Amino acid sequence: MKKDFILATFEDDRHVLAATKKARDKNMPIFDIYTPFPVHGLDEAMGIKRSILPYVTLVAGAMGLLIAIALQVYTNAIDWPIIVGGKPFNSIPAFVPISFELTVLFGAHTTVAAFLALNKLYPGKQPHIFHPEQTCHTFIMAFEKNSVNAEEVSQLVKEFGAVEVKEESADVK
Amino acid sequence: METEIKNYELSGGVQKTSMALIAVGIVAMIASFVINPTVGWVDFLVNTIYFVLVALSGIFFLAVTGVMQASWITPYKRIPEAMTKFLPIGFVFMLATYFGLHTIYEWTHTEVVLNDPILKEKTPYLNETFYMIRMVVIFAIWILLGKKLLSLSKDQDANPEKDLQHSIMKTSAIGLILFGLTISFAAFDWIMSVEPHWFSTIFGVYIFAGMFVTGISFTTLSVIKLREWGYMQGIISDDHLHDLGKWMFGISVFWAYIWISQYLLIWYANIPEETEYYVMRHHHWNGIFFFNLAINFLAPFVLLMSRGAKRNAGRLKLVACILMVGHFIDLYLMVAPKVFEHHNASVVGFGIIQFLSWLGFFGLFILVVAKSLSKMNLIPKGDPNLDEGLHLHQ
Repeated sequence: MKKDFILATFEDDRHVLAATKKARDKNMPIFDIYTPFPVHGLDEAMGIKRSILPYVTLVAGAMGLLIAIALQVYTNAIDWPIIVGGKPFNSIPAFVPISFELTVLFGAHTTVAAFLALNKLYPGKQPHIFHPEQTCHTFIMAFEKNSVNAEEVSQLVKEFGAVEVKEESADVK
Repeated sequence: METEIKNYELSGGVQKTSMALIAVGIVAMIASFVINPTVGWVDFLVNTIYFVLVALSGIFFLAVTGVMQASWITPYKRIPEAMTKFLPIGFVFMLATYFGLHTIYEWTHTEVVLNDPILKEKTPYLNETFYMIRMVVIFAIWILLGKKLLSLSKDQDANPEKDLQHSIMKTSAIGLILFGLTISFAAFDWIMSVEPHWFSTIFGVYIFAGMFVTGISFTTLSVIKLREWGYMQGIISDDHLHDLGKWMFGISVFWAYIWISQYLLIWYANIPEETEYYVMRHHHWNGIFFFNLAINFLAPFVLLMSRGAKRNAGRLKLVACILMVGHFIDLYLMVAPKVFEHHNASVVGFGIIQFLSWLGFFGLFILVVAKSLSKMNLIPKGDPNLDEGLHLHQ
C-alpha cells in the first residue's frame, strides 16, 4: 500500500542532526532518516530504542550451553558409557571446550539470523530508494504526510539548511 | 576547553589514606613474620610480584597503544604512565626477597638439589647467581622502557610541533617484544620455580592475563576516582567507562580461557609430574581453588554482562575491587601451597593477615601513582590522537 511522504534533502550531516533534534523537541514524528554513512548521535536524536538483539544472543547462547551439556552427558554417560583416558563418564573439564563452542555457535548464528529478521532483510530484497544520491552524499529525512503538518515541516527543515523539500508516495514499510 | 583542564594535585586525603594503609600493611607484615617467617616471606613475595605486575601493565598498555596508534586510551594515558613509576620501588623489594630465597625456593638448597637428579640437571639455569642476574636484567629492561616511553610522551607535551609518533611506535614495537620475553622469564623464575619439578609452558601467558586484568582494573578505578574528585570533567564520558568495562569483562574471560587451557591439558594428560600442582591445590586448598574461579571469572562475567553495568561507575568500581583482590588470591594460590608444604607449616589458606598486607602495598602503590600523576599534565595535550580519543562515540 502506498503512503505519502514528505522528503527533506540535506547535504550536511550536522544539519540533519540539528533538524532531527528540533523535530523531536516539537514532537514531529520522523518516519526515517536515510544517510550514506552512520551519523554519530543520530540514533539518540531520533529516540530509537535499543535493539533486543543482545537478549536474543543471551537466550540463544544459554540454549547452546544447555544443549551441549545435555548432549555430552547423554552420549558419554547414559547412552553409550565408555571410559576415555581413565576419566569418569561425566568429566566436567572435558565438557568445557564443547560447551563453550556450542554456546558461541548458537549465540552467533542466532544473532545473525535475528539481526536480518529485525531489520527485515532477506536475500533479493529490493530496498526503496527515495533519492538516487542518498547512498552517496545526501541525507534524506522522511516524514509521513498524514502524521505531520506539511507547512511546519517544510519551515523547520529549511531553517536547518534543507536544500529541497518534496512530496512523494511510495510503498515503504 | 583547553584552559579549563585542571591538573591533578595530590590531596591530603589521599596522602593520609595511603599512609594509614601503609601503616596497616607494615603491622600485618611484621605480624606475619613474627607468626611464621615462612608466611612472612610468602606474603612479601606475592605482594611484591603482584604490584610489580600492575606497574608492568602500564608499560604494556603504553607500548601496545603506541604501536597501534590507538586513541581510546589517550584521555587517561597518564594513569598507566604513573603506574610504571612503581617499578624502581618494586625492584628494591624484589632484591630484598634475596634474603628469603632459601625459605621460598627449594632449588636454592644444595643438599636437596644434590639428591635430586631432576633438579641437578636444572642447575645451569636454576642457581642463585643466574637467578639474580636475570632479575636485574628483567627490571633494567622494564625500568628503561618505562623511562623512555614517559620521556617521549613528556617531550610530546612540551614540543607539540615535533613529530614523535614515529619514535614512540618504534620504542613500543621493540618494547613489546622485550615485554613478551621478560614477562615469561619473570613468571618462570619468580613463581613457577617455587615448584621446580613442575612446568607449564603456558605459565607466562597465564601471568600476563592476570596482569592485564589487574592493570585495567586499577586504571578503571583511578579514572572513576579522578572523575569523582572533579578532575577530567567533560573529558571522561560514559562511553569511555563503557570501553574500560568491556576490557575488564573481556580480559576476565581471557584469563579464564588461559586458566582452563592450563588445567585441561594437565588433567587430560595425567602425567604425575604435571598433575602434582593441581593435586596439591585440590587437596588442602580446594575451597580457595574454586573461589579463585568464582571471583575472577563468574563475578565479572555476571556483574558486567549488560550494557548498563559497563556504563555504571559504581558497578565498575565494585568489579574492579573484586578483580584486584581476586587476582591477589590467584597469585597467592600459585606460591603458597608448595612453600607451606615444604616447611610443614600448618597454615593453610588465605586469611585476613594476607589481605591486610596487600592493603599496605596497595597504599604504597596509590601513593606512588598519585605523586607521579601530580607531577604530570593530567591530559596528554601533545598527543596527536587525543582529539579522537576525546570524541569517543559508540
